[in-house]
Amino acid sequence: MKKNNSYKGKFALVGNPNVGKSTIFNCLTGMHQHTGNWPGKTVGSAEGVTKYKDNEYLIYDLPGTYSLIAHSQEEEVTRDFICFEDYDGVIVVCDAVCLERNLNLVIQILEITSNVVVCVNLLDEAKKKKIKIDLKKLSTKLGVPVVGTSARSGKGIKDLLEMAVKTVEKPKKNTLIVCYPQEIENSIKKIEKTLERTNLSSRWLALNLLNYDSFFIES
Amino acid sequence: MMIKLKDLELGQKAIVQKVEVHNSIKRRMFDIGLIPGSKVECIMKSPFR
Repeated sequence: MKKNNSYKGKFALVGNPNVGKSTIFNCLTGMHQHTGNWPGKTVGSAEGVTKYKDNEYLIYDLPGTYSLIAHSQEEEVTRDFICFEDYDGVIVVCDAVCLERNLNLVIQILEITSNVVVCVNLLDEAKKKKIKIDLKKLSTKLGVPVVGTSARSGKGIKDLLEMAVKTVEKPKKNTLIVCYPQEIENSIKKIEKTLERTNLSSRWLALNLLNYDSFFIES
Repeated sequence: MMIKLKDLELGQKAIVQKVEVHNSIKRRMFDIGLIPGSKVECIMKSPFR
């Protein structure tokens, strides 16, 4: 594989377990990563290349996670990547059949970066269950683009890539800020002041320190 | 009427009223969407109980 900097951009694919991340990864890269429904299937992260117009983009397929507050090894892989690796955008894949549960992770990621495209996958499954999703409204509420896909048949994948490329070309900042109760907000401000400058948003770091994740204290 | 999640019978539906665990387990429950107000249905049961 070519050296990293010859790519026009780098995207990470994240999402809850079993929402079709690897299927989307395969659609985008033409690769044949194993897809299957069992816990911890994608343990490490796979990487592949996709082309859009004349440029090449690198895609990372990360293990499924419900949260950035990691509870297992695979979840740590994803958390470490989102927090410390170098990437241009994140594609958060959601399950259209149980969208609400997936939005937890979407919002956690939006607290770290705004260069996000939300992909609502399994629209075909949702349709079978007569679930309708207002993608436009979701996009307005979240402040980032939302693309609907049915990856098994390849539907919507082109639009997804186009949107992802657009976010790399026009990086955004702070599209969504979650407001916490006053007590927490006060503590965030206090901690923020004491933090050294890092690549990570100090607001977000402060929040996680409050949450007392020993990992973040160590790093 | 309030019962424990583990006492749900197959096919029984319920609404989460309280999450009475703490720290990382509580966070886990929230992360997978089990919050007060969530609807749950017992569709499978682990055999060794």
